[in-house]
Amino acid sequence: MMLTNIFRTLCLLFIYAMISGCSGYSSAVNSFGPETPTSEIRQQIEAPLELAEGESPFCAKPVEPDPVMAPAMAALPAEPYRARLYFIFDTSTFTPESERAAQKVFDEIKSRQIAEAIVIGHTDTMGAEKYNIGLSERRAQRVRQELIRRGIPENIITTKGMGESELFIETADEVAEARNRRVEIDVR
Amino acid sequence: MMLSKKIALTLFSCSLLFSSALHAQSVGVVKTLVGNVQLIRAGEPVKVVLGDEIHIADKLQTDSDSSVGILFSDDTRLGAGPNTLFSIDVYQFDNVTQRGLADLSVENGTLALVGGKLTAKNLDAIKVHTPTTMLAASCSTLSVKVNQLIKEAP
Repeated sequence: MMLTNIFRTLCLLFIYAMISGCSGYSSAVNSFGPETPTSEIRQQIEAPLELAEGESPFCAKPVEPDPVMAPAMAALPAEPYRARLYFIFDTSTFTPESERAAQKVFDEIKSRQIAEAIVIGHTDTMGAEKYNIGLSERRAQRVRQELIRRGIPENIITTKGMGESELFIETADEVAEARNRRVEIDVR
Repeated sequence: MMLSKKIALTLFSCSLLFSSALHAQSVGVVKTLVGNVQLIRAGEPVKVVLGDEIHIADKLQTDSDSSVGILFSDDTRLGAGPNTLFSIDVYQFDNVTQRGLADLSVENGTLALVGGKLTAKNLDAIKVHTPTTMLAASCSTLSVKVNQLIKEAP
């Protein structure tokens, strides 16, 4: 009990010493002069900011197209175009969504001055490997016929059937996966 | 019978080697062409036609009012303006890792370049050498103009 009282007194004394010390110190600072700054540097720093007229050398200027570069820019080949269309299981018939998308894809291909169209058919892992190669070829052929029908020259279209060898979504054998039943068109 | 089989096998493997070597060399295709463009391969100048394959170490020269555009295997696109002489010094692209690098040299003229898969993975993949400096800008598009070096009179 006695000890607790001594400890409490000591604590109070300590707190008082801290407070009085602080106030003593702050009054000492105040005694040096007025609280408003008088230093020139400080006045400059705290002065209102005035923006200089004209362009700053640090601001990036927009790049203006150089007319000398125009022929080189015009000679750049068009960006290659890629599209993927999906098929109904075990057929070379587009899914309803792809049937709609196909129109857009073929129109886009037709609008380009293309030199080469590579059409690669794929299947999922359902069925025999050999059968799937045939199925993927039929899918590629289907797209080829559509392209020819829209006036793309036959000799620039290359088709290939990869069967189930290049899956878009990796699956085990004998798994029906809609995203693997596809044709990939690379126009370049 | 055995001998002919052996010969056939050798011929087949030779053709395989030959075709794979040729295939490895082809790095791009001429996709746009205006006017007269020469391809200098192994010192021999040949007139360029649309669809021509471009190999490593090929040099291309465009005449005045001429231009050429090349699409590389990684989808990098290059356009060269008139009076341009440039070459493809190094070109590597791995379709599986989608990585590689390319070094081009411009001796004269104008080049515009839009990086494909090469710069998609590594912005420093394409370097352009000029007679005085090497551009290794970390970017996917760039255009270069090299003026003819003025030779001082002796």
